[in-house]
This record gives sequence, C-alpha cells and structure tokens, in this order.
Amino acid sequence: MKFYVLFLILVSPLLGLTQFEHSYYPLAPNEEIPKEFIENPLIEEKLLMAKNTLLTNEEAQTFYSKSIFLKYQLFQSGQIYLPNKLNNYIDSLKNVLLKSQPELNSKIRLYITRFTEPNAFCLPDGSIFINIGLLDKINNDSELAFILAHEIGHYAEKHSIKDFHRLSQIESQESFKNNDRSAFRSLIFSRDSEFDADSWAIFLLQQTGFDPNLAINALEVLKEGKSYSNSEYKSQIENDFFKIDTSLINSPNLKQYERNSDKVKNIKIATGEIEDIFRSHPDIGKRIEALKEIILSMDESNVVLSANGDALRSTKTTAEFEIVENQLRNQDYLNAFLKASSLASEYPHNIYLIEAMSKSLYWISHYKEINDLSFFEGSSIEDSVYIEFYALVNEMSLRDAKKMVYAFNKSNLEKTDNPLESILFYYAISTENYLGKNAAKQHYQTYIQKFPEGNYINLVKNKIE
Amino acid sequence: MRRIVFFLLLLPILLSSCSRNWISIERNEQLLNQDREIKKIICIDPRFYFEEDELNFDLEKNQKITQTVRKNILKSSKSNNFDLSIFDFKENTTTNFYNDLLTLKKQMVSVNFNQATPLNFNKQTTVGEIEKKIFVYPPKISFDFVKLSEEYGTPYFSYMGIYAQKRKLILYHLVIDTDNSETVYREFKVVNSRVSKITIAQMIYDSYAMLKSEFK
Repeated sequence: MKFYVLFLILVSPLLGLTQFEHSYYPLAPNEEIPKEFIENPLIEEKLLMAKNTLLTNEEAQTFYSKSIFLKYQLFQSGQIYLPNKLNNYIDSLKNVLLKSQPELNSKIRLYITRFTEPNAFCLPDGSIFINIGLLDKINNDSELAFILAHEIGHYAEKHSIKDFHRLSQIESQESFKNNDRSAFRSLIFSRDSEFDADSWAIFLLQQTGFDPNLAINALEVLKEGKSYSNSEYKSQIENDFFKIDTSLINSPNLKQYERNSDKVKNIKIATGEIEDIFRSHPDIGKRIEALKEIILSMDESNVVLSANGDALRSTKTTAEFEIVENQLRNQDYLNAFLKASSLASEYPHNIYLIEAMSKSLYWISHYKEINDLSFFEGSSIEDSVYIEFYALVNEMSLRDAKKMVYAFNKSNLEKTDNPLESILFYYAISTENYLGKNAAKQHYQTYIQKFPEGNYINLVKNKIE
Repeated sequence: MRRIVFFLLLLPILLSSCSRNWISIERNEQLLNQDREIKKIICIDPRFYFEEDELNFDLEKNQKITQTVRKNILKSSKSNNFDLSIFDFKENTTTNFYNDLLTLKKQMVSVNFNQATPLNFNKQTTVGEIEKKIFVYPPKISFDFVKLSEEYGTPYFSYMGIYAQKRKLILYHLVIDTDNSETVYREFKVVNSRVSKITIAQMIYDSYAMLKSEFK
C-alpha cells in the first residue's frame, strides 16, 4: 500500500502532462457565466461614481462610462475564458502576492483572455486581464508574479484615474481643445506610470518571497513577442508526394518580404530608432535598466523557490494548445500552422495538432485562391521563420498550394487504417480542391458511411447533392 | 398653387438627404435557389454603439438604444415573415451561447472583413446608390459550425450592428449559412442622419424587407 501511494505521488506530475500525448480538448468549460459578465453596467457605473473622491462629477461620468463600457464589451465578446483550471493557478499567485493586503486582494479580479499577444492589462475597477499568449511565454512563477504585481500596482496607485484627472485639469485651462496635444500628454503620463508600476511590483515581489531578479526576464518576454525557434513546419509539409521548392524561399525573395514586414518596425523600436515621444510605454530596455538599479539598492531577501512547478508546467502547456485554438478561431492560419507544427515535434501523435495543421493549410490555400494572402501580412510578421513560411506560400503557385494540402492530408490518412472523422473530412475536401469533384465524391461517400452523425455531415451531403 | 410651391421647396431637401445615403448589398448565388429560402434565423447578440465624440460617451443612452434596436429587429423580421429569435446576454446566459454562438458571431464579422477580395468588395461605391451584387467568392467561415443547424433548427445565423456618430448611422447586416459555411447576405448601409428611434426603426425594417425581396 505504501509503495502504491509513493508511486502515485511520484507519477502524478507526469500524469498531468501525458494528457497532451494523444489529444487535446480546447477549454470550453460548462460552468455558469460569471455574474459580473451579465450585470447591468449602469448599476456598476453608479457605484463607482459614488465611491469616487478624486474626479469631478463630469470627469467621473466620462471616465467610468467609457471604462465600464470597455469592460462589458470584453466580457460580452466571448474573448474572455469562462473560469477554468488556468484561473486557479493565477489566482493562487495573486493570493500569495496580496496575502498581507486582504482588502486590496478582494478588489482585484483576474481574467484570462483569448488574445495571443504576450501581454496583460488592468482596468480602473481592479479587473486585470491576462492574455493566454503571456501564459505560454512565462518560465517561472516569479515572472508571472511580476507582471501581475505590475498591473496591481496600476490599480493600487490609481494611475489611470490620476492621469485622466490631470489631463482634464490641464485641458480646462486651455482656450481650445487640440487632440494631438491631448494625445501626447496622455502618452507622457502613461510612460511615467509604467516606471511607477514597475517599482511598486518589484518591492511587492521582494516582500512576498518571489525572486525580483526574474522580473527582468518577464520584461524580456514582453519584448520578444511571438517567435519560432526553428523551421519544424518543413518536416510536416514535405513528404513523398510534395517537396518544398527551396528556390521559392531564397534570399532575394526573403529580403523583399522582410522589407515589407513589421519586423523592420519592431527592430526600430527595439533599437530606439523610434522616438520615445510616440510611445505609450517606455522602451523595455530602459525599464530593465531602471529595474536593475532598484534591485541593486534592495536588501538581499529570502528568495523562496517556486512551489508551483507542476501547476506552471501544466498551465504553460495548456496555454500553448490554447494559442493554436485561438489562432484558428481568429483565422491567423499561418501562425496556427507554425505553432501546431512546433508543438507536434513534442507531441507527434496528438490528433488535435494534426487536425489544426490540416485546417490551417486548407484555409491558407483558400486565402491564396481568393487572392487575399495580404491578410497574413499584418502585425504577425515578427519572426524569420514566419517570414520564410509566408514567402513560401506567397511564391508557390495556387496549384502547388492545393497539392501541398492534399499531400499533407493523404499522408495522415495513410498512417492509419481507421481514420478519424476530421482527417477523412479534410482529405475529402482537399481532394475536391486538388483533383476535382468527381475524385472527391467517393471520399465524401465514405465519410457518410462511416460517420452518418458526424460533425460535418450536412456540409458533406450538400457537396454530394 | 401653394401645394406646388411647397412641394418644390421640399423637393431639393428630400433629394439632398437621399443623395448622401448609400446601401451595398451582396448575396450568395444560393439565394436564387428557392430550396434554400431563409425562413428561420438566429440573430446573435445585436449591437448598437453611439459615440458623440471622444469625451462625451453616454453609457445609458447606448444601453437604451440597444434595446430599441433589439425590439425593432424582432418587429421588422416578423413583419417580413421571418421566424427570428435573438440570442444575447439579455435572455441567453448558457455556456453554449457563450462558447459557440459568440465565437460564430466573431468569426462571421471577421471573415467578412478579412476575405474582402477586390472581386467582391467595391471600395469605390459612390454616394446615393443602392448596389446589388452576387458574391464571386462568398466569405467563408470555418467548418466547425456545421453541426449548429441541428441544435438551433436552422442553418441561418445573423448579426446586425449599428454604429452611430453625430450625424451618421452605419448599419451592418450579415447572414451566414452554417451548412455551407458561407455568407449568404451582406448589407452595408450608411444613412446621414441624427440618431433617432424612427430612423433606426426604418433602417432595420428596410434591411429585412431587402432580405425578403431577394426571393421574389
């Protein structure tokens, strides 16, 4: 019996991660929608205005109307996760951070958004939103604790309220309004607030046993954004039937795409070529410098090592899969394919990832067909692997793009005698695209025979008709 | 004589107000097929957003007019013989609504912007016109929503939103067929007028009348 208990204790952390080996079920909890999502915003507006001590009535009306409206827009957009296992982890960190400040702790509410950018933000009522993209990037509890503490600092110090009041006071002294002047003023206030929140957070980290030195890593995470360490995607696309024509991604082509990309802009920001005056947040390099100075001046503290290692690992892996899910939901198919193929190198038998790659490739070829690949040019281009993949898709002919999708699905189908529903469906639909309707007809019929109640049955029946 | 003078004075005013408005309607070829006639529609979370200017945002007014929009959608669709149900936070707080329908709504709005291929979207629409077109490539949503038609008893899901500024109202009306994963109807209407209950009611009624007329 003792041996059995010991075995369970040793193996339990591993069990948490083996769930990702074969499949993944996206987070769509069947919990009730939280009350605050559906409350009447007008009641909350009145409550906040009644508590207001800093703003004039007119200022409070404008300030709270907008911020509450923004919050309800977010709550009712479907972009906030309903409470799930990830919330337990971030709530536990918040409770450690604010253990000695119960009043403040009760006012802070944490929500996880479906946004894939590594970022977090705070609203004036104490609601803090953490993007799923951030949970994917963090490497230890202290990094996330710093980002949480930074956002809590904005709320505790009432930065947005004070800045709004200051701005309104200045503008009331001017004979006419000028939007540019107002915008620049608010940028200056916002940059100052960032340094304040950083120092507020670093002291809280030290008091609560997290490692302040790791705060610097957290800022590096925000600076990095999305990045793919290598080109695993090539091994997914290349097979007996489809080979990558490397001349399509040769250096002159790549240079052209790099020139057009936002990467150039990002490099300019990173190297300080874009003036501080145009930023809402100070340059991260400058924030890191300031943090180092503060840490040097601090007393050595008793740093407590992470007690949440397993929870962090499970959160991080769930976040990685959720990023793929959200990229698919947002039609960010190039990133979805790259992220899924990078995860597939770790979980090669995961059905969810195969399905995600299949979907992404199908839609990439669709966007190519309607001559609208420029949609993928947006702010996502931050990474050399992304640029390379984008260049490849852009340069290949439509016929080759269809062949690539067909070949990918065919090779998946050949790996198994008993194909899953989605694999058969995407094989049939990519056959139609590449070889025509008649060739696809028999695959659609096989689908109907095997999955008469399948998820895609109505579409398949329409195709045959 | 008086009447004629009055009419002549009124005419330029009427014409000038007409000329500044425009409507663009794009349809799917399948709407020409009587078998695919739209009868039952699930309207997902209609929205109204009014911003007078950056500093004057009135939450209460926004809330009130959203309710007006909601009422008019129900009334106008009924007058045009559509069996329409609204799913929004007012009445539907199930997780299915949150997890499935809101995702569908987001996707139907975003694909209609993302897949704005020049073949479909004519950016040079001139003022004072009604443009009617058939999609070359109907904007497509992902195939993950095919199963919804069994749950809701119809493959037709719609979204209607109105964005208002001081003297301009913009209506956006989309209808998607989840069985084919395609947009079947897209209407974009700009009316140069102040926000009023009557204007909003007229805009919404016209939109459903237009959708109905596609089958005549």
